[in-house]
Amino acid sequence: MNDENQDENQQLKKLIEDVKKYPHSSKKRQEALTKLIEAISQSSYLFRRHSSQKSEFDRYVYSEAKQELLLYICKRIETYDPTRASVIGWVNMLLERRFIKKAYAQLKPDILPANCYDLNSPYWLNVEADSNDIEQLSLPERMKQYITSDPDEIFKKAHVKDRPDANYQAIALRYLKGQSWEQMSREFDVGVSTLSSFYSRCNGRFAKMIRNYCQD
Amino acid sequence: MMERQAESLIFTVPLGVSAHRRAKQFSQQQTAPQKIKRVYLNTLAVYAVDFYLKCIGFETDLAASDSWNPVMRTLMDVADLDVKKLGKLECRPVLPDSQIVRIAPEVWSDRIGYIAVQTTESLTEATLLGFVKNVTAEELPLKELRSLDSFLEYLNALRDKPVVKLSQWLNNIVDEGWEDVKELLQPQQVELAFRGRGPGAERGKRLELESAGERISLLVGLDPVDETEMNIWVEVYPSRGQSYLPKNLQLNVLDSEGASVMEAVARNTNKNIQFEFKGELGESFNVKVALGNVSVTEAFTI
Repeated sequence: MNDENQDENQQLKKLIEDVKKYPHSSKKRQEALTKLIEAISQSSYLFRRHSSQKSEFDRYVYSEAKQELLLYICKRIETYDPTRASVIGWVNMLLERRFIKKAYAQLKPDILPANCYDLNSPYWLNVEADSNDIEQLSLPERMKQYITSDPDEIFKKAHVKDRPDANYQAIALRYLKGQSWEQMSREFDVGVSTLSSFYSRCNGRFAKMIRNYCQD
Repeated sequence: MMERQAESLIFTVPLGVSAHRRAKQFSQQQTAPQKIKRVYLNTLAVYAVDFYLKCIGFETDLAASDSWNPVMRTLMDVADLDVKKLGKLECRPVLPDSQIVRIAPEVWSDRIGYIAVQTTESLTEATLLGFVKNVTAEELPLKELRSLDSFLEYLNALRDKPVVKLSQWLNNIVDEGWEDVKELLQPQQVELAFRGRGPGAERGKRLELESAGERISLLVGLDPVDETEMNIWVEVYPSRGQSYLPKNLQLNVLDSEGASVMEAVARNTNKNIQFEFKGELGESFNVKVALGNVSVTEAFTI
């Protein structure tokens, strides 16, 4: 171990002692855990992917393994034995020998590339084409149909106090068409927060019914 | 001399394959490109906060969250995470270079707080930036967020002081410690308590005003007026074996900010104190029972 490495190991050991010192579900322990996990997660000594493994698949496998590792450390911190390994030594052993292997075994590369996207992915631009079964109406379309037909006559009856025109059906259909709250607020001459909180409460009441009808 | 800077807590969550698979699965149910991206990012944000809470030992319930419900996701721009017994925490995604967090008006109520989650360009990592308790505008500057440290403080305070969800009583979901009124009151008190009430729900709790050496029963009931409005009543009774409330016992109804909106004090021969008021679903209030400088406060959400 070089000096820097040793410094870091001392810091991590101190954080682990902190975690162990405080009772479960105490704020002090949560704080120490937060610091410990962040420190491990950002450590320059944490095992990285081999330079040969640069595919997108490897990147997401690594993230997956790292996530599992961090949760494991939180749950099993008591199993760390400072007499047997440095903190980073223990962590890297777990990451390399356990969680990366496990992640590769669980995740199949053939279905993967189509599953993870970054913010610049072309996925966002042409999603419509491949995301929907042409045979069947999409969920938003089915919901629009159901709310429009209002077979039990409940969506039209639920309305903002003294304002039958500002009813759930009218608001939901506008929302599903992508109208903004400002637009609706101007149209109904009702404040955004009154309108939106009425709408959310109704969603809470009606969601189960809509789900039963619109899901197969 | 070196001075130690106060470090603020930061937490970074790796976003692996399972987070992205879930995000894709949810976003594919949508058809509008903007909505697809929104659902994808919302799902990652919820996933990240869920991971953090699991790490530090808070129980969450994704299945009970609107963000995990396809119909709710379609009807709202929602990224809530149900934290068991505490309520819904809204987890809003923040783009890499953004200075603001967007919070849709449809999630301005019924939340215990709003936490901002900034993703990297590659969406392989997300950082929990901080939180606020309430929002009243669609855009919140990130610099107005409170730290992760005060988030922990707030969450622990909430856990240690659970809020009673009154409207759930109507579905027979009753918070711990709230008993059937008949268990608490004498028969003649029960008659008094139920007089002129609707068919809603009423429950009671024994309060120990410890150092004052008194026990009293707090009763709270509700009855729906329409889909959003409830009649609420709050009453206190002496514990079994006593005819009158302790003299100078004070009952307060406080609004969610803690300001007193109703107040009454027991005289020599008060058998009970009763308050009635109307409230909207999702509204919060507190009930404070005090004797001398001993007091007990119970928090409610309608």
